Amino acid sequence: MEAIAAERTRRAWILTSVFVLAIGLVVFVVLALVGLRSAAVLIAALVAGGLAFLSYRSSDAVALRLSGATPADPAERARLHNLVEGLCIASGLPKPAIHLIDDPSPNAFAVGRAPKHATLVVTTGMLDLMDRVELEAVLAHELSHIKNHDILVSSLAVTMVGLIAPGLVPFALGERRESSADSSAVEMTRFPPGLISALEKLRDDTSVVRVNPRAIAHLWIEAPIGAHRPMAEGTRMFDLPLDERIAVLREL
Amino acid sequence: MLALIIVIVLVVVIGLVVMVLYNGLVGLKNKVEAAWAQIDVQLTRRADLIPNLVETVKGYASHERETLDAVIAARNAVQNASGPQESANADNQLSGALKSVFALAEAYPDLKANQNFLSLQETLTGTEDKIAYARQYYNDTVNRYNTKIQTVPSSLLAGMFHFTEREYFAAGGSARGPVEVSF
Repeated sequence: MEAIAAERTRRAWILTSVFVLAIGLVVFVVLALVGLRSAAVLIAALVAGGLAFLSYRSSDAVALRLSGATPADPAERARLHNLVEGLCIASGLPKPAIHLIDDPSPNAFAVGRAPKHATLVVTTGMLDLMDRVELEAVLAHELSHIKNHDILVSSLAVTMVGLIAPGLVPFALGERRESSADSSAVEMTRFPPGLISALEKLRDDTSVVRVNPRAIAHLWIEAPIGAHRPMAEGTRMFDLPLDERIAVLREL
Repeated sequence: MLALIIVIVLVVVIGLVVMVLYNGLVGLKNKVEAAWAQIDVQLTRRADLIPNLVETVKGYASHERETLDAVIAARNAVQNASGPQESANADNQLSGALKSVFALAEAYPDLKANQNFLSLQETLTGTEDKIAYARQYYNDTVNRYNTKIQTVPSSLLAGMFHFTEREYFAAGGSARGPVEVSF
């Protein structure tokens, strides 16, 4: 699992560098055309660096704002908090912030720039559909994204790529994110049937989340189909479809 | 002159390697200690919640004395147990006794609807899960620590600095059997 985290961190650096270079180039060209040739390089570097830093710092806040998520009350949602706490003990992760989206369609995602600054988001539909064991498996899957540093890459992708050129997001994300999160989740819970059951329920459910901005379409555990179908299929371009993920888990 | 420089460089390099390996062992050893302490935190939490549960159930199912007494007795047995075998047996007994108490709710609809009872049930179930996960994490950490002690190159230092292997947490003999639930 540390190998995956290292790969994702490398990927995050590459993504950031490409972003900085692209922004820097654009700024430089604009300034050069206006006649500020000598100062252009410095200004371009400052602007690009500044924007990259801002994107990194604000990526999770942007994603949360776009999705309409609000904090989940520990007293009201005791089960949700208890399950996450248990999994954090099993994995040695710090407990992330937990948010809810009021939507009947079952779905979930995780964002943040590091395990210490992470947020886990679940729809009320997910809480209604899954039983205790299945919900735990879904939460373990999301926590695995946090543990594997997937969230760093996907969060950067929201602000650095998603807001500018959503079509390029699949290339930014890399391969097999969902399947590796599946195996890490099972490593946490030691109970494959839980996740199998949860994925089967997700596969058979046909509802789609209502608030569905393109910039965050890649974050969800279940690709939102419908209006954004080409995009959603694209984000799973380098990953296995749900049926195959279930088959892989059955082999364990 | 050159020989001297080479020797100094070698000493520095070896020193750095030793430092890194030693710190790695210390880090893992501390992780094992912390993981063990975490199990106790959850065990204490469970023990603290049980009196509250018994009082709540008494309000609705006061003639279920046997079941309630069994829980109290099991809780005390866990507190007083000495040695891993006794602890494991007492722990298993307590889990069974708790399940019996929760099963009572099926026969007493007023109890089942009581918010306090439901909240306690959720919290206690959560705590049982956390105890299991804490033990799982402890074993995972012990695994990493023991492996590091056994493998080269850390193994060379482990003996020198008295890093010894830790024992895994194992379920007691009776814990492998089915858990008894009595009504």
